[in-house]
Parts: sequence; C-alpha cells; structure tokens
Amino acid sequence: MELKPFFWENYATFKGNAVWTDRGEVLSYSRLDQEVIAVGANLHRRQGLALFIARNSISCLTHYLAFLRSRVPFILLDWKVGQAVIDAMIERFSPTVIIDFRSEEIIWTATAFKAKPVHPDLALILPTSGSSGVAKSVMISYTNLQANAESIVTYLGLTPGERAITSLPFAYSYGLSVINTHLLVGAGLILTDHSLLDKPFWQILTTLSATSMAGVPFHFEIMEKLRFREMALPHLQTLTQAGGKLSLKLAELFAAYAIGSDRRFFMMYGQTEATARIAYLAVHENPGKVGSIGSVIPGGKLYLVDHNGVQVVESNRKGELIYEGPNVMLGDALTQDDVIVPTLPNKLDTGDIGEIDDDGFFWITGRKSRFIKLKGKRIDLDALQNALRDQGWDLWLTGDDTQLEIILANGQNRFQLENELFDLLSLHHSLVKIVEIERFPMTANGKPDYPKMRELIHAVLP
Amino acid sequence: MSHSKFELKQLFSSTLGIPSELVTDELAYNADPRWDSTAHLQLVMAIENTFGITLEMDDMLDMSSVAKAAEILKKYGVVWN
Repeated sequence: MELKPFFWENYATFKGNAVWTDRGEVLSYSRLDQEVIAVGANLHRRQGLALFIARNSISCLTHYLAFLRSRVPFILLDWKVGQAVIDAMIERFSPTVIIDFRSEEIIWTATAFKAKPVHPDLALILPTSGSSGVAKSVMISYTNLQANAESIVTYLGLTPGERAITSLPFAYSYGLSVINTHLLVGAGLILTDHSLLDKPFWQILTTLSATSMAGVPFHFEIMEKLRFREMALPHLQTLTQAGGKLSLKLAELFAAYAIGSDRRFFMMYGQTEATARIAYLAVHENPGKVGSIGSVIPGGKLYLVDHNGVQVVESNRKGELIYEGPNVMLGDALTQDDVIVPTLPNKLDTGDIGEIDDDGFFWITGRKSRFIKLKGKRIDLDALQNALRDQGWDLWLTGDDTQLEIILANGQNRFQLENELFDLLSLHHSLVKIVEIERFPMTANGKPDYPKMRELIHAVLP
Repeated sequence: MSHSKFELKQLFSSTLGIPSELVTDELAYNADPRWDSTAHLQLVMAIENTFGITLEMDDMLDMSSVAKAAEILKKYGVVWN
C-alpha cells in the first residue's frame, strides 16, 4: 500500500480550511501549521516517551501534530482519566515529560526518569478503553495512523468540504481517527469536549454547520432520547457509529432515518489494536444488511478461521474473525521492554466469532474471549476480575454489552465494591449488577461456571 | 398531583448513587463525577417514569441541578408541597 503524504504534514496545504472550537476560536490550517512548527522547534532533542493527557482543544491538537512531526512518541490519555491511571502509566513506562491538558493551560512537567530506548516506528501508546485502570495499552506506529486514516477517508468518501464535530474523546482510537481523517483531506474540525447532553454541543453543531458526527452506541441512545431524528439539521449529512454493537432497534431506526432524509449512515467495526477500523457498513446503501459489520476496510484483509486455525471459506459457517492490514498495531504495551522490542504481529485475532453471508457481508455472532463493551469502553472481564480478586474481593464477573454482572460472596461490602468499581471504571452503577451468593457455581473441573452464574443473576435481576 | 421535594431528592439519590443527605438543591450535572452523561440519561428516564411526563429536549438538557429540575417539572404540572 502506497501512502499519501502524512496527515500531520498534509493538512497545511489546505490553507483555507480551519479548526473551530466551542469557545469561539477559529484557526486556519496555515496558522495551525505555524503553531505546530513553533511547538516542534522545542521538541527536536526530546528523548524517550512523553505522557500526553489530551482533550479536544486547539492547543492539544497543535501539540499532538508537533509530536507526530518531530517523531516524539507518547502515551495518549484522556483528560478525564483518574490520577490512578496516570500514575500507573508513569510507573509502567517512565515517561521523561508529562504534557497535561487537564486544566485550561497546558502544563509541562519534566520527570526524573532517564530516557530509555523506544522502537523507532512507535508513534503513540493508546489504552484499549477510555478510562479503565486495568485496561491494556497498544502501540501504534506512524504507518498505522496514516494507513488507518487513508482507509477511512476512502470508504467515507471524505472531502475538504466536510466539517466534523468531536463528539468523542481525543484520546480514544475512534475519536482520534475522526481528527486524523479530517486533517488528511483538509476538512474542517470543530473541537469540543461537550457531551451530547450538554446544550452547547447542539448549539455549536448547528451554528458551526457540522456535516458529520460520530457516536458509540450510548450516543445513539441519547440521540434517540433527545428525538434527534426530528431535529432540523440541514448541514449534518453523515452519521458514523462504532465502539460496540448498536442495538438492532436503534440501528434500524437510524437506517430508516438516514435513507428517509437522504443522509449517510456508516456502522463500523474495529479495535484499538487495528488503530481503529477493520470493517464498515454503508447502511444507507445496504439497509437489508443492518446488524452486519459489512465488509473489510480498503487496504485490509478480513477472514474467518475455525478452532483448528483453518480458514473458513464457506458462507454461513462460524469462525474467529482475523484481520490483516497496515493498521495492525506494533503490539501490546504491557512492559517497558515491549516499547523497545514490539511483538509486530502480522495479523490480529479479534476474538470475535462470526460468519460471512452469501453476499460476502460479515456478521458477528459471539465472542471468543471474555470481553464486554460498555459505553464504548472495552472491559476485559478476566483482567478486571483478577485485579479485584488480587485486592481480596471474592467474586466472579460476567456480563454483556448492556451491563457488567458481578457475583459476590456473601458478607462482602457491596457498597465499597460499587465505589471501587466507579473509581476504576467510571461506570454508572446502573450498568453494574451485583448479586450476592452463598456458594459460587463451579464446573466439574473447578472452574467458574459463567453460564450458570449468568442464569442466577438473570433469575434474581430483571 | 402534588409531590414532595423529598421524593425528588430520593429519585436523584437512587439514580445517581449519591447518598440522599448529599443531594442538595445545588447538586449539579458534571460537578459530581457520579452525575455524568450516563447518569443524566438515567435521571431523565427516571423522572419521566415517576412523574408520568415526556420532557422536551431543551428541558432534558437544562436540568442541570436539583433546583433546576424542580423548577422545570412545574412546567409539566408537577406541584411541590
């Protein structure tokens, strides 16, 4: 795959376009470029990893682009993560500097760590879920970022006339890909950290004429509650959805909305391990395929393998989805050694089980590993369970993409657990169901019987 | 139908997971980490169910404190005793 000029260089050729913010600022891309160059001038001799705490602001965007241009690798975290997550990252990766956008003004802090070697292709380290303390992080290369952006630009047909509003966090693979793709084609950006439940979000979206917005399933729930489909939004032409499976009901409602109002609606599938994107469905062109993840993104390869690792070639037969492409990460970032010598996987085992229909569309039917996705955050049930058990909690976790389910031994303090979970995951307690039990159901070979646990939980709870 | 403010505060307390003694008139959206966007959506639905009303979009978004919620609910015929 031949790459175009990198987006962190290329946007500057679209001098006339600009980035807007919710504070009334406008910065043309030629001015943005000057600021990026100014920041970059101070980055030349930077060594080691930086820790970058990001938000949707002009200063943050400027620094992000300067870091990419100067090839200073960084760990990217959202400004809303807890201090515990930041501390854990500092401990794990020993960054030499911290760039913090949590307050209005940027704060640079040099740490006492000595610069350690870093793989030369490493652009950034991204947690696989927004704010989970036990999340794993992955390493993304410069090529990954560019290839992912190019592929998305192609299938979305993005042009410089587009103008996206940031409805997602900057430090989230999906949110970041919205920014990267728009810079690549020189399209406009509206930067805001307002949520869809903040009035200013809708004011900015309207007054600054956003042409597209992106959402995870939870956003579509909010949009439905706010009667989005009845809003007059003449400039808004494209909706994209990713970050977990949208309920079939909402998917069908929004598909009908898009078709009925001559808008475009893309339902997309991916993982942070693939920088963001793996497959997409242009719903407005394929209304009969709502619920499928569509087909592979341009430049990638998606196929199924059975439990023996043999490729499934027949349609309507299940297998694990395997992805190959230039956007497959450098590897997991579990330790500092990973940062020096990444695993460089040539393919991605998604852990999702699916099948291909007779028309070549992929459908996900289940999951191989124990992951759930809540509010767009991927939660590794085993990792979370281990972390909690290590702290002395006697419990097991199950759940699905609607709720985290906990089966807790009698006599433990469930309120303390709820609080701890909130601190760890920032999950609203309505998304967490706790059932206390005398004796855990176990399988014959002494393993937790998760299906039985779910049965018990669902028998007790609505 | 008339309702008590206590009832409203109980609703906030149970929906947001904040002890009722901390639910004051001034408690505000986004000021407490527990009252985030997920919680706000839950709150809107709980209020609609409890009072048997359907909120306008602007009112959902304006409901940024307990006091504001009480005020907005008056528009929907809720009487505070």
